[in-house]
Amino acid sequence: MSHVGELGVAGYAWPARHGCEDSDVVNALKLALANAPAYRVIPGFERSGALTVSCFAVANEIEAQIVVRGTRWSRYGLARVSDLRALGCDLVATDVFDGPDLLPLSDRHVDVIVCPSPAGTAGYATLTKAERSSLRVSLGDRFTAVLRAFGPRRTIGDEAGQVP
Amino acid sequence: MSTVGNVPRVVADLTFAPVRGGRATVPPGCWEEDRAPVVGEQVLVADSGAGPFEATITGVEADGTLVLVVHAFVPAHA
Repeated sequence: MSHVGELGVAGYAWPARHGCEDSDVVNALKLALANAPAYRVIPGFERSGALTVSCFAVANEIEAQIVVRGTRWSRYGLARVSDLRALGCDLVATDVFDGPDLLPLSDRHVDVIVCPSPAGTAGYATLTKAERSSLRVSLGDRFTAVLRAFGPRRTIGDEAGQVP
Repeated sequence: MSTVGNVPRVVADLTFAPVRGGRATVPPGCWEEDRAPVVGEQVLVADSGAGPFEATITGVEADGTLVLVVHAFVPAHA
């Protein structure tokens, strides 16, 4: 994916100045687990699906701010592709559809594959609430490590959040 | 508990909810109540960086996906 840019813009945001909020990580992980079956189309993940973090590829800070302004976000994080790969993540370009409609910025959309989904072929949705909770706990450290690669968070219009 | 008061909490990717007229979907496995969701029901929805926002369930698909309208992202029309 290096041809699409050196930086990735995180597909989620948590407060830039206050570190990682537990509720944000839990929500991100819930969505990643629930959406894991959709990634069975990726070679190597046909049975498990994949746990991913959604991002947009950018080449520099200006592009990052343009992309972020195209979403509802005001906070974002950046990670170098090389740093994500050093964490053992694969990066895959993916389109985002709403039914038949290709959503904006799909040409820049990248999924960072955190790991195969441990929920397996049955899928997260088939687990009991206790099983889902246990699964999230077991994945928390790995998932958080990838999210932290995108820190510290920056805020649009906040000079303190700009890259020096 | 997954609720505050009587309002269920759900998670959804809200990235493009504003350009989808406030529409968002909750994937299967993210409804944590001990009962089935009901069309017309009020919920609070958050994603991994914002919310919660008030929303209404407008559909329940066969696979369990919930379709919501997030009121804060519905465009105002003159």
